[in-house]
Amino acid sequence: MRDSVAESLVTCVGVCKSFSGQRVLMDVDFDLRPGEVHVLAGENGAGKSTLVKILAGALQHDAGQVRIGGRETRWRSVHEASAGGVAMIHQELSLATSMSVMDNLFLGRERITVLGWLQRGTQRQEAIDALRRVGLDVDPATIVATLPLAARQMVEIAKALMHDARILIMDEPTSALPRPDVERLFALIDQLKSNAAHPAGIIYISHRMEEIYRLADRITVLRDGRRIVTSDARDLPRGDLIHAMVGREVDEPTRPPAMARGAELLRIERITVHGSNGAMVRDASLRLHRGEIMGLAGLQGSGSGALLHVLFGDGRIISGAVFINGAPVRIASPRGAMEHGIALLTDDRKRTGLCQDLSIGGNLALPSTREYSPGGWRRVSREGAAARRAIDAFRIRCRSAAQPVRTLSGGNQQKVALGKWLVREPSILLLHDPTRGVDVGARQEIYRLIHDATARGVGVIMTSTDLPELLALCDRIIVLHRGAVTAEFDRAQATPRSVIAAAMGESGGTAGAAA
Amino acid sequence: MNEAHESSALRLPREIVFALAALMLILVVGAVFNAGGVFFRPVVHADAFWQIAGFGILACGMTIVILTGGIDLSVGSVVALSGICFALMTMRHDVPAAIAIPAAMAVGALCGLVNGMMIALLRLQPFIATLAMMAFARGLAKSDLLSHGVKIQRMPAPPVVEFLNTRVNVFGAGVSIGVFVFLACFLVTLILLQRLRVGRYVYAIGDNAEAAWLSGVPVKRTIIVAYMLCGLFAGVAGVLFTGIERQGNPDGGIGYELTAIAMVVVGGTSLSGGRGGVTLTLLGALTIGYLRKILDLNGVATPEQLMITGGIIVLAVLLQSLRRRE
Repeated sequence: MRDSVAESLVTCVGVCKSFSGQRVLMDVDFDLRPGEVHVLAGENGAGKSTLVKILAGALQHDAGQVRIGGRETRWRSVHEASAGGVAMIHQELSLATSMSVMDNLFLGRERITVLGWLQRGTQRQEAIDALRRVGLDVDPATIVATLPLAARQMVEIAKALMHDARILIMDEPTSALPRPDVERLFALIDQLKSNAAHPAGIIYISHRMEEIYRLADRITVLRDGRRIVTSDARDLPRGDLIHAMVGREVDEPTRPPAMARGAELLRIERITVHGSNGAMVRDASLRLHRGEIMGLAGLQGSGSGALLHVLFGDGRIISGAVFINGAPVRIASPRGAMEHGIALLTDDRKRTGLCQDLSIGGNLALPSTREYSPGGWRRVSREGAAARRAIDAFRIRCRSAAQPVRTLSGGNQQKVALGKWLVREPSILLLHDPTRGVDVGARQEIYRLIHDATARGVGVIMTSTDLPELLALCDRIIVLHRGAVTAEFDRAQATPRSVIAAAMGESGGTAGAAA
Repeated sequence: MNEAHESSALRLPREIVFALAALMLILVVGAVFNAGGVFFRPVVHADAFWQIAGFGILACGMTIVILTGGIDLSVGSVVALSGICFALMTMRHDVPAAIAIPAAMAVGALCGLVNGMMIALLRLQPFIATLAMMAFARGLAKSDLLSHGVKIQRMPAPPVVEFLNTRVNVFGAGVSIGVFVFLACFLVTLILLQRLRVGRYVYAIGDNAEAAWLSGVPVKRTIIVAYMLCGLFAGVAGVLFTGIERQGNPDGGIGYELTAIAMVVVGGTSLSGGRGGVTLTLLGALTIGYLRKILDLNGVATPEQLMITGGIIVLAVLLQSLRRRE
C-alpha cells in the first residue's frame, strides 16, 4: 500500500460566498483526497453548485481559504482552473455540438505549428488515445451533434483527462443518461480513482440515493450554505443522510392508498408516431383510468417522451386512434389537447417548461391566458388572485408572484411548471420525468400534488429516469422498447429487474399482461 | 422579505430607472450646453418632439416585433411605399383623406402580414424575410406601377397635408399633429402589450417560444399579428412623413429602421426577446431625439453627430448589460 494519507487534492477552510447580500456559503470546510469519490449532497439551493464553481474557477470566494495541491489558490477564470488540473463535467454539457469530437477535445488548446497551422495528424492520434481511455469507440471526426448524450459526456470526460485533470467535478452527470450508460460511467469513475500512478479525486453531486451509495467513499452534506456533516459513506445510513439534507424526517416516496380503478379515461389503439429519425412509437396501445397513475418505463429513445408529446398534440400521429371518455378524438395542437382536459409537464423546465424571464404569476397564468382574458382583455386582478392561490397551494417559496421564474431554485421552478397545469384542473395529466433535478424536499411535495390530483379522479401517465420512483408511485407500468410496448406490469409484479429486462427488449417480461 | 415591502406603487422597475437616468443625463448635457439659452425655449422642445414623432411611431411597432425575438428591417422601405401610395391618392387622384389614410395604413399592414407569414409559416429567419421585404417594398415604391422613381407633389398641397402640418398651442409652443399621433401609437402599444391577451403571448414567445407553444399559445398567429402591427405603424409613419415633407418620396425612409431599432435598444428592450417594453422605447426615443437636437443646437455637423450617436448607443447598451450582470 502506498502512503495513502498523501496531501489532499483540495482543502477548503471557512469558505464564504454571498450574492448581493445573500449568504450562500458560510464557513464551509471541505477536502478531497486522491483516489476518492466525495459526494456533495444537499437540497437545491444548499450551496453545492456555488462551492464547486469556486473550485472550478467560475466564481471567487469572499473569505476563507482554498488550497489546491497544497497551494493557496484563487482562480480568476475557468481557464486558469483547468490549467491547474480542475475540470468540471457540466450538468448542461458544454461542447460545441456542430464541431467534431476532435475539435472539441482540443478547443482552446489546439496543437499548432509555428506558422499557426493545425497539426491534425498529431491531434488525431492524441484524440484516439484519449477516447480509448474513457472506453468510447467513435471516430474523432464525428460531429458531436450526432452522438447520443452519454457519448457526449464521455467526450467531456476525455477532454478533462487530456488536460491532466486530477480533480474532476461532476454535477448530476447521470440526470439524462439511460441505464447502461450510467453503469459505464460508474465503471469509468472507479477506474479513474484507482489509477495507480495518478489517482484522481472526484467531487460528485447527485440527488439519487442509489448512486450516492454506489459511488461515494465520503459524503458531505450542505444545507442552507453550511456544512452539516462529512462522513465516510458507510457510516452514514440513508435515513441520516436525508435527515441531514432536509433537517427533518422525510419518507421515501409513499404509495397512495390503493384506489378502485375508475372509469376509462383515455384509450390509445395502435398508434404510430414518426420523428425526425424514423418511427418513435410503433403500434402502441394502452388504457388509462380515472384516479390511476400509469408509468411509462423505457430507456433513452424508447419513445415514452414522444408518446407523451404526441398525446399533447405536439407531433403527428401517423396511424392509430385515440379515445377520450370513449369518444374518438383528433388532437392537432397543444391548444386542442388542453380543450380535452390534457396537460403535459415537459422534462426540461429551462428549455420547454417555463419562460424564465416571465414572472411566477405570468408563468402560472400562461396556459390559462384565454380563460383570464375574455374578449382579449386581461383581467389582471383575476390573474393575481389565481397566482397567489397557486403559490399557497403548491407551496412555492418566493418573495412575490412578480419575481421572474429564473430566480427560483430548481424545485420551486418545477412546482411552477406543474402548478400552471394543476390550476386548470386537467382530467389527464402527462408527466415527463416530473422530479428531474429536484431536491428531496420538493420531490415529496410533487408526489403530494400528484396524489392529490389522482384522489380527485385525474388520470396520470408519467415517465421517470428514476426507476425506484416509478415503481413506488405507479399503479401500473407499461414498458416501451424502441417505440413498441414490450410489457405491462401491475404494481405487485413490477420489480426493477423485470422492468429493466423488458426495457432492454427482452421478451418474456409480459408477466402482467394477464392482469 | 423586505423587498416585498418596498415594492410600493412608487418604486419603478429598475429598467425604467436606468432608461430615465440616460434621458436625464442627456437633458442635463443640453442644459449645460444650452446654446445661449435657446435650449430653455419651449419651441425647441416642441421641435424635438416633432422630429422624434415619426421615428417613435416606427419604434413602437419595432418594440413589439423585437419582444417576440424578431426584427423588422423593412420598415424604412414600407414608410416610402405607404407614403407614395398616400401621396398618389391625395395628390394625383383626389381621394378623400378618410379613405387615403386607412388605405395607406393597410398597405403597411399588408407588408407586415407578408413578413409575418414568411416568418411564421415558411419559417424564414426574421432578418432574411424582412431584408427581402425591404428590397421588394423599395422596388415597388419606385416602380412604374407607382412613382416611376420620381417624387410626387402638388401645389397647393391638399388639405389633409396641411392638416398634418398643423400645430397645436401647448404652453406657448406649437406642437405638431405628428406628436399626438406618436403618443396615440405609444398608448395603443402600451395597452396592447400590458392589457391585451396578445401582449402576454408576445412576451411569452420572445422568452421561450417552445415553452409557449407547449402552453397552448398560438405562436404562429401571434407572430403574424406582431409583424402586421409593425407594418401598420410603418404605414402610419409613411402618411405622417409624406405630410410633413409635403411630398411622396420613393427614396424616403432609407435607414429609418436602424434609427427605430436604436431607439428600442437604447431604451433597454433586449434584442433576444421577452424582456423590455414600449415605455422603455419612449424613453429611448426621447434620449436619441434629444441627443440629436442638442447636437444641432450646438452646431455639431452631421458626420460628428453620427459618430457621437454611435458611441452613445454602445454606452447605453453597455450600461444595461452591467445592470443585468448584477
